[in-house]
Amino acid sequence: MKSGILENQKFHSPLESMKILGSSFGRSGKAHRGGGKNLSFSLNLTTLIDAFCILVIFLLSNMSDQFFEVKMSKGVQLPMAKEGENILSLGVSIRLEPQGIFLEDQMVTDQDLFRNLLEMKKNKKEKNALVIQADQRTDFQRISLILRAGEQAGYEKYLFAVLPEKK
Amino acid sequence: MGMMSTQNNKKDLNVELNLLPVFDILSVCICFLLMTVVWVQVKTLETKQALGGQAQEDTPSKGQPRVIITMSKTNQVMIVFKSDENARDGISSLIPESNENGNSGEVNWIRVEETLQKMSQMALSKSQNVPLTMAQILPSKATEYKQVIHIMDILKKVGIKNIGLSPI
Repeated sequence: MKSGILENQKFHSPLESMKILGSSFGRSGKAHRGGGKNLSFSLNLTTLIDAFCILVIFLLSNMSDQFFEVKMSKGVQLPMAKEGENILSLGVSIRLEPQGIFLEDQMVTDQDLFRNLLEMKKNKKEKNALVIQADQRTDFQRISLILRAGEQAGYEKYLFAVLPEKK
Repeated sequence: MGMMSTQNNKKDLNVELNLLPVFDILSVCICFLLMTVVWVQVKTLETKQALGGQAQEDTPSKGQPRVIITMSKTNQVMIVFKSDENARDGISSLIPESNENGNSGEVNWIRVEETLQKMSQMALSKSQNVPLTMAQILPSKATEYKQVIHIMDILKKVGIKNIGLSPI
């Protein structure tokens, strides 16, 4: 075979069309192949994809610090509310689960909760709120335990995580 | 996949990769993932501590109207309106509807919302156009967390933004 299958099937590529030397249009100005004009065209997508990638990377890097990661366990159903607001301030995450209380993903006992909150208040001063996640069927007595410990540790702002309900 | 072309018995050293199928598959995969992913947006309800530890600038000044909402273990809700610290007026007690067995039923949330709206209007008339923006919630030990959230949601809806939650 003088020419391969791909050679016959390929369209006029952008690189080839931009070649100054060895152009398919010879000195006579006529196309080599079959003597007729090549009606196929190819799109140069390199610049488009380049711009797209830059946009995606820019958006990802700028928006990453606005997200607050909320980890939810399988059996925990957050309560629903219509007037919930977006999480705008940084806060210490407390999760109430059947196994126990998780403070920033570390399990703590009821007795150690106050001490751990106090330590966190000293070390992470930029986090001035408590973000409380609990199942909607939880008794208020358990929530009250967190409120009392938070009050003693010096937290004044409490954010209760809810799922948005359609208005 | 390189494509070599021979023109005039000279080998062309340019190698071109056809990336269009790659981007095609990539975009199909991204579209599939976007359509099938479950987006969960978590929001928050803000509250402040009601007892002690309150910053001085947050301490209410005298003469500011407020409501105090008490929730009992039998799902009874009592709403007390105070036009200022010493006054005690507009007391409203809500009794839940009982279900078929005669047990204590659910709280009548519609009546709760109506009562709070009336108290909000009462605040404007009695307190020289000072709007009702403060509330304090006192739940019981057995009150369900979702009921507390529901009360807070109704308060926010009515326009009461400063909500205090008292621990037991």
